[in-house]
Amino acid sequence: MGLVLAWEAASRLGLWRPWVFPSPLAIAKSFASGVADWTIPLGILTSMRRLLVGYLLSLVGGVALGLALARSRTLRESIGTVVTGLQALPSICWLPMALLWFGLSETAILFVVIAGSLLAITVATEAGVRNVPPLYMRAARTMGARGSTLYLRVMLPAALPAILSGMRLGWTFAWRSLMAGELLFVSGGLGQLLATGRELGDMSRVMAVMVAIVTLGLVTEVLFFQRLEARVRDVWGTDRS
Amino acid sequence: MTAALQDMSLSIEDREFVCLVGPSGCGKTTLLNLVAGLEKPDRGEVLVDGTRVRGPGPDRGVMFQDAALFPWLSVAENVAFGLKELRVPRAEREARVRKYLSLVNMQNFAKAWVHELSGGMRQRVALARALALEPKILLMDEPFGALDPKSRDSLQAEIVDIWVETHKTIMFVTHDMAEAVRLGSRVIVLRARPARVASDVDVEALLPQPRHVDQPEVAELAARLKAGLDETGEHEAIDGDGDGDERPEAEIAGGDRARGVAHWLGLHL
Repeated sequence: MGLVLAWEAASRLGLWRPWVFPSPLAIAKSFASGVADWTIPLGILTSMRRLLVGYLLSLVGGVALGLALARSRTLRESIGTVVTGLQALPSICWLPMALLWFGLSETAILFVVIAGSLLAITVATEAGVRNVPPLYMRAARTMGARGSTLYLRVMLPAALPAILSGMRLGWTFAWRSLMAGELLFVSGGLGQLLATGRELGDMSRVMAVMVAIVTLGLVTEVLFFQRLEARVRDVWGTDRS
Repeated sequence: MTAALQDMSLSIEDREFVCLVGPSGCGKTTLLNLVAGLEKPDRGEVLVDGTRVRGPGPDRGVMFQDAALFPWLSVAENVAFGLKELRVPRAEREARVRKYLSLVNMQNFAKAWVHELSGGMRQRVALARALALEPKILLMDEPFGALDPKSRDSLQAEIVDIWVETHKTIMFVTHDMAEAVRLGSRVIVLRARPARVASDVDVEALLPQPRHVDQPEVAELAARLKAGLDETGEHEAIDGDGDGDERPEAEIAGGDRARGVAHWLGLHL
């Protein structure tokens, strides 16, 4: 709060030109007008819908692929290197491919989101599953567990802490990919609002949209991931403090 | 597994509490895993009530040195794990969880998480989890090996009580001779390199339960068995009732192959 006040004071003293770095008040006004004319709420809605759909598909696909990789040596030897390599590819590099395959469509955006986050979840799931103590599986088998229930009732829950950190990383990657995609290819959403702000040379509008993006990230982080991780720490007793 | 079991035949009777004891590398854990169905013999077979063991099953409850409780489940959910797997109806499941948690004096910890329990408490829950499936046979692989003396002492007393009350057949692996003599109705001492039976003793005939580790007779018998194991000579047969009808001798030979291989193993329970 003090920081915001100092920033406002410095802006009023005219230490820099307002169109280069606007004051907090100007950003707040711009934000309010964005909310009033519905551009910011609609942008948030469009972006969040894409993010959720893409991320959920990534989550299901990433966990399944990670599980398969952890369990199958053949699969690891055949596509393990490809997965590691592609995971290091910045997700926006998928955009040209997506555009050629799907055109300027919703599918192309989803593709970029999934390409950006799926493999991070895959890699974390694979590591998590491979670190599950074999004794858990042996114990479960002596109690009659076999086949798919071994995976669902033992392997996945045992790997949950690792999968969760992959989910968190995947969410961040999905969010970044989406913003990059929306910025480069005009189709609604918060990314497009940023691009519009730039075209109008309206710095306070750009920064108002950035505030919305940061807030969304913070809210999902605090409301969802931090709660989930705290829950896992409580249950597993892994709180080191 | 470092031990190779070869040419061995072992019969365990109903309601026996058999302690397999011996140095590391004598194949005692391999033997237990074969009965559990967690390892497969290359040759030979394990028969339980005349049926060949093809894999793990709820008719044989297993306890490991590590309790191997699932940290994402509460104590009660851990005990209920196998019951859910067997589709035991909810009411029956809850009743059994209560019954077996009480049996091991853990009824007040049903809602606790695994990380909140001490090592001894975890083994109690692991015991309840194995018993909840009401197996005929309980297989225990050094379950008290990592516990402090006090917890070990009370768990030893409880497992004997449970054996007396429930008439389970128990196969108990340990490297602690005094523990074997204190617990088992029958103690089979295994020797390593080459792995074979050093002695097979009917302890119940010599020293009926209740007995305690600090009892002089227990210490004395343990010392005698240990002495027999340390000698390099022939196996010592200690006959419980002194009328010369010692048990059929089991032969375990080999031990020179790197991987655990059971060449011939006929085990009738």
